Amino acid sequence: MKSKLRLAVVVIALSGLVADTVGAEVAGRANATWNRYLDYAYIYSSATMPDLRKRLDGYGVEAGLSLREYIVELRTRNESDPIIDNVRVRRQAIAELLAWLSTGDAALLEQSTDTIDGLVEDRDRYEDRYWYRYIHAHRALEGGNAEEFVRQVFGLWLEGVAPVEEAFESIHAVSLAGTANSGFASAVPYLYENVARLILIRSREEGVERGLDPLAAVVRMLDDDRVGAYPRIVPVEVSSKAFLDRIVQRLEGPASDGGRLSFTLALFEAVRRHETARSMLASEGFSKATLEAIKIASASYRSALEHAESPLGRSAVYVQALRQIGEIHAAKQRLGVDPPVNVPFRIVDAIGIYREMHAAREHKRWLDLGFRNTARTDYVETMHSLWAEIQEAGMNLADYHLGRALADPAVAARHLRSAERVYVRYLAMHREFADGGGAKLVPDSATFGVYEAAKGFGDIHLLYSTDSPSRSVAEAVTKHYQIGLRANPFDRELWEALAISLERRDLSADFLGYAQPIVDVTLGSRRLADWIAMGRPGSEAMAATRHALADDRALLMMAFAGRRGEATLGDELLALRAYRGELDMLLVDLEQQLAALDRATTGASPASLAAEADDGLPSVSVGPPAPVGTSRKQLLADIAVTGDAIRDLDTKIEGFSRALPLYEATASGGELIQALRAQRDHPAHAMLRRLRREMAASR
Amino acid sequence: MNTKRTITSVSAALLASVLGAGCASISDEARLREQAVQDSPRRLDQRERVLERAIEDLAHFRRTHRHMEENARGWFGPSFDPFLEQFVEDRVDPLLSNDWQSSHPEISQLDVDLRLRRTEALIDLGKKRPAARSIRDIARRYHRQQQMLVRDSLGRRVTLAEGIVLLERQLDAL
Repeated sequence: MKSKLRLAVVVIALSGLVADTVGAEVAGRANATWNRYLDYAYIYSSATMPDLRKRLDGYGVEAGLSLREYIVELRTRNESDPIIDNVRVRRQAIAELLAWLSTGDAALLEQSTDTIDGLVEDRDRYEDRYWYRYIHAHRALEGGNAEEFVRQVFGLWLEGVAPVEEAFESIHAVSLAGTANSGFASAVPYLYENVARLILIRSREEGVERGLDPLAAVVRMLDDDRVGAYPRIVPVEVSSKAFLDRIVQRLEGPASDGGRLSFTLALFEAVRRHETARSMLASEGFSKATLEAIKIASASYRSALEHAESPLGRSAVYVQALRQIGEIHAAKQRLGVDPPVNVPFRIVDAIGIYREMHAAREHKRWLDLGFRNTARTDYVETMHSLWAEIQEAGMNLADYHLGRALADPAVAARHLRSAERVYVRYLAMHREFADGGGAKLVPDSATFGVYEAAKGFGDIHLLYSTDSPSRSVAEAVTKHYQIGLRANPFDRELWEALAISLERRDLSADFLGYAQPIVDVTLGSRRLADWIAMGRPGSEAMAATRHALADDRALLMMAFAGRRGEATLGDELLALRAYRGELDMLLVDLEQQLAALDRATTGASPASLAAEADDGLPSVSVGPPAPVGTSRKQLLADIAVTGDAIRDLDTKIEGFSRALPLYEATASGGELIQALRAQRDHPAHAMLRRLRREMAASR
Repeated sequence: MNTKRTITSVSAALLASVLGAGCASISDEARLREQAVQDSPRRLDQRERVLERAIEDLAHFRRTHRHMEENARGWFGPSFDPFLEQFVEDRVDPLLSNDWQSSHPEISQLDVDLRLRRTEALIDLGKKRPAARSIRDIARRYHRQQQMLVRDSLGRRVTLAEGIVLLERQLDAL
C-alpha cells in the first residue's frame, strides 16, 4: 500500500515534472517567437490598425500565445525580477505599444509609456532611446500635445536615428545591412519610414493639426536621400516617398503658407478628400455618399484656411475650394439636378484676397504675403491661379443659374438676377485690376472672361428674360455686346446679338456705326495679321472672321442672316440664280417679239433678210408673231428694264457668291471659343488680350 | 608589419563599434574613427558622404529657421533652437573636431563648406561669440586659400574671403 502510494507520488511528481518541462518548452518557444518579433517591431509598427492586428494575430498563433497573454507574462517577469533587464522592459513597452496601435485601447499606451520610463542606465542603447522617444511621441499625440510631440520627435531624431546613420552607411557599404549581426543600425531605413509616417500620417490621425511647423526641418531631411533611398530594404512603392516628395514641394511652392508644415499637411489632406469627392461625383452623381464626401472636403478646406496665416496660404486654399465650387455647379447643370450643397467659401471673399495681394505688388511688399522664400514669378503665378479659379467658378455659377432659370420659370427671375450679379462682378473685377496698374498679375485668359461675362449679361436680357427691357437696360445690353466683341470679335453669334439688340431699339440702320470701330481694329491690327501669317494657334478661325469682316456683305450676313441659317442663305442664292435664268428667258422672248414686230412692219424678218442675202432665195419666217397692240417702243423699254435687272442681279449674285463662303467660314470661330473655354493656357488668349488692348487704345 | 597590425586592430575596433551599435555601450571612439577614415579610401568616401549630408541637413535647418524668422508669430514653439543646437553639437562638431580634413585635398572643400554652414547655424541661434570664434577658426585654417571657391548660404559660388565677409555681416546684424 505504502509502495503503491509512493509510486503514485512518484508518478504524480514525474508527470508534474514532465508537464513543467513541456510547459517550459512551450513557454520558451512562445518567448523566442514573440521576442524575435518585438525586437524587429520597427519593421511593421507603422502598419495600419487592421493590418497590424492581423499581423499580430498571426504571430500569436505561431507563438501559441496571444500578444495580450505575452504582455501579462512579461509584466509578471519584470515585476518579480529585482534586477531590471532593459531588453525585457523594452520588449514589454513595445508589446504594449503594438497592442495599443492595433486596438486603440488608450490604457495600453499609458502602460507602454510607464514601462519604457522604467529603463535604467540612461537608456544606454540607441534602440532603447529610439523606442523611448517613439512611444513618448505617440503618447504626446494621443494627448493632443503638439509641443511635446515636436520635442519627442526632435529627441527621436537626435538620439535614436541620427547616431546610427553613419553606422548604417558603413554596413550598407559592405552589404551587411539586414544580416543577423548588423544590429539596430540596419534598422535605419525603417526608422526613416517610421518617423516620416509619425509626422505626416499619425499626427493627423490623432487630430494634432497645429504646432507641427518646426518639424519641417526633419521632413526636409527625411526627403533628402533618406526615405526611399534604400529600395532593397524598403521598396519605394510601399514607402512614404511619394507623399513626402509632395509635401516638401508644397512646403516650398506657391501652395505654401510661408513654409508652415501644419498648413501644408492640412491642405494636402483637404485636397485628398476633394479628390475622393470628385471621383464619387463622377461615378455616382450627387448620391448621399457623394454629398457627405463633398461636405467633408469643404470642411477640410475650411480647416486648412484656419491654419493659413499668410495671404499666400489663404489664396492656396481658395484656389482649391473655388475649383470645388465650380465642379459642383458644373455637375448640377450637367446632371440637371439641384441638391442642396453648402460649400463655405464665397467668390467675393476670394476677390478680397486677390485685392489684398494685388495691393502689395510694388516695392517688394509682395514678399510679406508669404513669398519670402520664393521668386516673384511664384507671386505672379499665384495671382494668375487665383484669378483663373475666380473666373471659372464664377462662369460655372452663372451657367448654373441660367440653367435653373430655363428649367423653372417660377424661379427664373431670381436665378437670372444671380447670374447677372456674377457677370457684373467679374467685369468690375476686370476693370479694377486688368485695366489699371499691375495688369501683369492678371492672366491672359481673363480677357476671354470679359467676353463671356459681357455676352452673358446681354443674353440674360435679350434671350432669357421674358420682360421687356427698359431703355437703359436695352442700351446696357448693346454696350455689353460691344464689350464682348472687343474682347473676342471671333464669335459670329455675338455680331448677330449686337444687331438684334439694335433692332430691338429700332437702330438696325446704325449697325455699321456700332460695328465699324471694332471691325477697323480687327482688320488693322498688325499683331493679329502676324499671328495669322505665322499660323499661330487659332489663326484659322481668326483669319476666317477677319476675311468676313473685310466684306460688308459678309458682315451684314453675320449680323442679320444668321437667324435664317446658312442653308437658307444657300437657298436664297439658288433662288437668285433661278430668277436670273427666268430673266434671261424673258429677255430672249422680248427680243423675239421685237423681231416679229419688225418683220410684220417690213415684211421680212432680219433673219430672213440675212438668209436671203446669203443664198439669194426667199426664207420662211421664224419666231413668234409680234403681239397685237404691243408697240415697238414698249418692247424696247421692257428689254432695257430686263437687261438692267439682269445686270443688277448679276452684281447681287456675284456679291452673294463671294460673301456666303466667307460667312460660312466664320463658323470655325465656335471651335476656337470651345478651345479657349477649355484651356486657360491656350496661346490664343494672349492674342485676344492684345487685340482688346488695341481696341481700348483706338477709342 | 606594425602599421598593418595597427590598421587591423583599428578596423576590428571600428567594425565592432559599427556592428555593435546598439549592443555595445555608447563610447567615444573619435580618435580611432578619425585615424581609420584617413587610412581607408572606402572610409574616406563615406566621410565625404557624411559631410555632404551634414551640409545638406544644416541647409534644411536654415531654410526652416528662415521661415520661422520671416513668419515670426510664435508658431515655431520653444523646441526648435535647442534641437538645432544639439544637432550641431552632436552631429556636426564631431565631424569637424580634427585638423586633417582641412588640409586633405579630397575633403577640404566639404570641410570648409560645413564649417561655414555651422557658423551660419550658430548665427541663427544667436550665438555671437561662438560664431565669431568659428569665423576666426575658418580664417586661420584656410588663411592661404582665401580665394578658394565656397558656397554661400544661398548656394552661390563665392571666394572664401567673400564668404567670410558675408558671415561677418550676418554676425554684425545680430
